[in-house]
Amino acid sequence: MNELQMISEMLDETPAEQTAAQGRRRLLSEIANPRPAAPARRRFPLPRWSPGLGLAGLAGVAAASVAVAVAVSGTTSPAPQSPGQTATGELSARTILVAAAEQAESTTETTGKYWHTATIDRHSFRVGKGDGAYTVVWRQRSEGWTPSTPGGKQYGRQQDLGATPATPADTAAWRRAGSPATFSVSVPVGPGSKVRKPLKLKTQPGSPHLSGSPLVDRDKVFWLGRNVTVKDLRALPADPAKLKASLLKWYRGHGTESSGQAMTSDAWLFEVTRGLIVDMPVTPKVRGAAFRMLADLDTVKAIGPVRDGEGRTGTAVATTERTPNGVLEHRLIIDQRRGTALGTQIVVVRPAGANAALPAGATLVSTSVMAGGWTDTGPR
Amino acid sequence: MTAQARTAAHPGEPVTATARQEQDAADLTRSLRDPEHFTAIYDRHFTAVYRYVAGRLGPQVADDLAAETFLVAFRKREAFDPRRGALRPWLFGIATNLVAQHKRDETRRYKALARAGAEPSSTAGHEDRVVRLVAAEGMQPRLARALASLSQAERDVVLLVALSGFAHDEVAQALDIPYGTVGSRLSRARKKLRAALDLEVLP
Repeated sequence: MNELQMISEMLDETPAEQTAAQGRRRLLSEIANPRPAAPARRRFPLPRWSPGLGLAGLAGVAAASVAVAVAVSGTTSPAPQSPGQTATGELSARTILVAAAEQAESTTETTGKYWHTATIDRHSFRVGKGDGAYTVVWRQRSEGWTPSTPGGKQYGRQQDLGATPATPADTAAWRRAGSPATFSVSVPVGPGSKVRKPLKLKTQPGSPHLSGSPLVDRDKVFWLGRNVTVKDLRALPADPAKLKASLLKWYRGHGTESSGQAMTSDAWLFEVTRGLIVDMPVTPKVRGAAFRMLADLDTVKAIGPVRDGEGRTGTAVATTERTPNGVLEHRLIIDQRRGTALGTQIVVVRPAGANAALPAGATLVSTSVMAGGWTDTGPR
Repeated sequence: MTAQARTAAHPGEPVTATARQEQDAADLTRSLRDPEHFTAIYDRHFTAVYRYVAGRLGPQVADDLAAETFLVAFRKREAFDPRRGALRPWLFGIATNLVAQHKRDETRRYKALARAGAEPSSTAGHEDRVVRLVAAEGMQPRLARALASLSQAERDVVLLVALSGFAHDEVAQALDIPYGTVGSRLSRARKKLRAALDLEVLP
């Protein structure tokens, strides 16, 4: 008998039948009434749908998409603007947002069994070394079905659309590198974390994966400073000042992803409101009020016409954030004709830190809203 | 138990490692849509997880922590990545993290075993058997003390191998450490254990 066998003999314990049965009951009660693994902080309450098994290398869109954005966002402070820019910028940001509000307020809607959204996320990564380095863009499609009544399940469908070189110059560099079919990159293990874990991207798209999970506390569907139900969202005030006050009740002086990051109330409000406008089933009147509320924020400036990740044209407003990883612009792209969000972008205005290798003006992360509306049809 | 279909093999029927891995992966995937299906994973792995946790922390703490391991795994199941290894090492990685939060209980257990081995007459039941097997040769106190003197990282490797029969690659996955580190850590720890036991006569 060697020392390992001796240890095994000495420490041997067998579970009593009742111990196994008791543990099983605990598991079943957890299944019936799941608790989120961590406090819900994101736009979506936890557990948020995340990629199914096949997509698991991405270890959670959630992890990757939020983490990339957040890792580059350190502490928040509005960047100084030149006086001229402020005057004209404020004016046109207000014009853009008030026009969007009017458009939103004039629309009507019919609710259904599910609030359905579809988005395409894009992330930029720098791969390779030195002169041979190039940028690849990884795209991922996410669809979500949120039940309008409590007790049901939230469904998500995720598909890895593959990673490709960002520009013709990047394509040339990629070819010189032998046109690799996979890229090794790294993403932070959690929001704001300095610890990074490897992530393997492929040029080939993956297949879609559907997953579903019971709602947090049976009825919480989104995160809006706190976990909220569909009923909460439908009951938000349609008056801009009251909406602002009701949201700011949940502002605690720090960022939306980590309590370790300070964030000004304006930046926080912009972040939370952007989530409300882009993702959530609020009434058209409340969406209008949200646009009007942003119109009143001095730190929101106009960017003007931009193309989103999918090549569609919209009008952008933005806030600027100074971080250890450069000056970042958080953009909300608006579809002026419909009074809805076309998407969001984070652009590196002045690269530094983790983003030092990216050119100024590079889009770090973007989300394009492909669909958002009520449906009676669940996932198929 | 429930009337739910069980995916585990019939008692006594051997399950190959590959078959088990496939079942695990299939059950986990099903549990994403149908959470109750996670009980199949519980049924297949509870005893092994219990033996590991109870071996390190004793039955009292293990009654709670072995079950807790599955609750944590259930909550984190969407983050499980089959491309980074099988479910079993992932599960034992979670168990090891929980064990790490109970270092005092672990040390207390080894000290108790050291005392028990030194006074065979005061022990009963299960420990009698231990006494016959190990302490009769006067080794249990030394072995238990040697275990207590290992670093946490060394114990993680030694006990995954000794209590759960993990291969090196499974240990690497469970602890998220490089494959080479498993071998070096294990041989360093075994050297210490052998020195404590003064085992020159062993095969």
